Amino acid sequence: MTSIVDSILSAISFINIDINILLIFAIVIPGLVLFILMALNVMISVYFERKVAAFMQDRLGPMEVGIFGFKGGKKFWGGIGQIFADTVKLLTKEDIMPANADKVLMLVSPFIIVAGALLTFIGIPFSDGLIVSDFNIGILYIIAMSSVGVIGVILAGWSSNNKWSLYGAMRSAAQIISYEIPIGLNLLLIVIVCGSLQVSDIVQWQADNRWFIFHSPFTFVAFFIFFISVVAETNRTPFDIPEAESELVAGWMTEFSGFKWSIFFMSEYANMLIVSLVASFVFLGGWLSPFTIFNVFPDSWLILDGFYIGIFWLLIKAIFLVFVMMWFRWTFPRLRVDQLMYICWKVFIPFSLANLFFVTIWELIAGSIS
Amino acid sequence: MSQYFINIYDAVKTMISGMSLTLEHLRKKKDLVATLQYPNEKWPQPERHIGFDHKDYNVIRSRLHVDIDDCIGCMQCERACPVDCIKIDTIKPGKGIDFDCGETSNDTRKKMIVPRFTIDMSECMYCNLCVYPCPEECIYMVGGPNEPKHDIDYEYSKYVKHDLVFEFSNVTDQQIVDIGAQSYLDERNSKIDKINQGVNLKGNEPQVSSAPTPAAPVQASDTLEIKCLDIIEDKMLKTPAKKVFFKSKRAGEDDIIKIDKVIAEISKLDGYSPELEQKLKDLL
Repeated sequence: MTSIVDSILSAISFINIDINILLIFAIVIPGLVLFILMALNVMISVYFERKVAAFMQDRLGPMEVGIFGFKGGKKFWGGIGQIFADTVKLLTKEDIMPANADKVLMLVSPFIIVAGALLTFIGIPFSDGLIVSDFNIGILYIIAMSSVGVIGVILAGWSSNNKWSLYGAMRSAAQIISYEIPIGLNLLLIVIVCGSLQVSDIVQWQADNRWFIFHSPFTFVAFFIFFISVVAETNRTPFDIPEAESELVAGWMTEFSGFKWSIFFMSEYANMLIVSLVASFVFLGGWLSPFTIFNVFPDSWLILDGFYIGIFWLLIKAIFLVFVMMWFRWTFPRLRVDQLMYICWKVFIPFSLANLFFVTIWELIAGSIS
Repeated sequence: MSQYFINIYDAVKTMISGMSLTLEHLRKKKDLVATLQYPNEKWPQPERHIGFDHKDYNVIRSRLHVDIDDCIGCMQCERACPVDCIKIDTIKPGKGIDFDCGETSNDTRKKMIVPRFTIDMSECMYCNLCVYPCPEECIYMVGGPNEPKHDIDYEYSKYVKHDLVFEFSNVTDQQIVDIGAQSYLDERNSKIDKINQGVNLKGNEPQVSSAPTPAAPVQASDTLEIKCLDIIEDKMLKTPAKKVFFKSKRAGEDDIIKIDKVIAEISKLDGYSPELEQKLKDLL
């Protein structure tokens, strides 16, 4: 089993039709599944975020809406029906289009952003072999696709015909493009060490040796630089200057409402999940169980590895990182624009370059010793 | 250069301390949560420290309460109420019917039953006037000096307005039948039926007065031409007058209105005289 598309193709190849038509089915099915996954993700993440935010601020969060009379009290499940209430509210809201907006671009821009998020999922694994397509340039593809969204952001800001939207879009573009560089450099570090851009190779290297975060001091630092940079790339607090509520109303989302806005929301939370999954499988061992961190007892049943439990481990790691993002959001105040650029250009990029230099030396020495 | 690394060190240190603070709040959420789920939970009423006890007030203005077992149906409180928020119905036992209406706590024999005793607290103005005439001291404001009889109810908030109409009577339908007042019961039930059907009860009907008949429509007269304004000799007046006249003519307005507008326009300007106004009015 190598990838979902391959296994679906082999499963339905007994039907005597042209292979190209079968390929359409093999692509549409995982696409639909990913779309539903993203929708579920946004529903659950919003509730999760509201609860985490509330508890961190000594509040209770949503408490009134239950499911069939089930209300979990003052705990995490306190207003679990809010998930569905929020969804229904968002989808039935009026879809407002400003009179002087660029109608076509305004209609298209949410879908460009969500398409960027969906396309990234093609290269994201959920377990060993549970990946839509495991091509040999996986990491490069993920970096490329995660910056498609910035086109949608700029279109959204421009088409709204609103100065706040345009400000937000410009800031967002500057921020995303700047933070692409440390992300790329830190992923390059991993690629240098394991010698492959393919996702399954990277995780296999970690299974054979050790998790990248504990591989060397430089990869340890690289993980943190990478993680903070991806938080910045998803436009989340403390790097949320593109939508800074107190300055720009809602940034490039100001003029959007109803379904289009919910699409933005969906892509934001999908991006959170994507970057957490990437950080998990690149630095935290992917679908490997936490007992393989230092690979103490290889090939024992004790380490709880496998296909199905791999999904669990990967999602646990990703959800923890999503939680850390929410934790960031409710801890730190927003950065100023110059501070944001300072962190990227004067701290992260020099450190990443130094990392890149030292990790090559480290690998040479470690290689010659072994 | 050293400042650069000191900054980074400070940033990491403060990040960790800040994040541990929020994590501590997340971990101790049970003790630290400050929100009170209001309708389900309430703060206890705070203790007062104003020099004397709550019970020592002469008068307290809070919710009215009736100890209905003590009520003899004398209707003095209803008469005393300046806003008519108390409504009482009483029934005496019919002739030849042996019915025990009970005794009050002051050993007064009751002579009638009280099938209805409602107080509309949304109308009550807390004047306390109903409390004084009560011979059995059964109507009172809760709390304060009456604390031993009834705890203070300081909010009595309700979801809908008519929930503020409190019914104190505890007379059952069977008792009304026993006392020989089947007609009262029937009347009450028919009233409730009418209310449920949405029929306006007598006395509650809004006063309806017949609408005034509309006057016969006036035909717009449109006989004046713009040249008639040439009677104005002063050019400084003629031009604005003609402008206004033309605008009004386009709107299809009446001649009287046209002339009125012209007069209103030029009366602001120099060279305007009452003679001119008279001239213009003579045009009609």
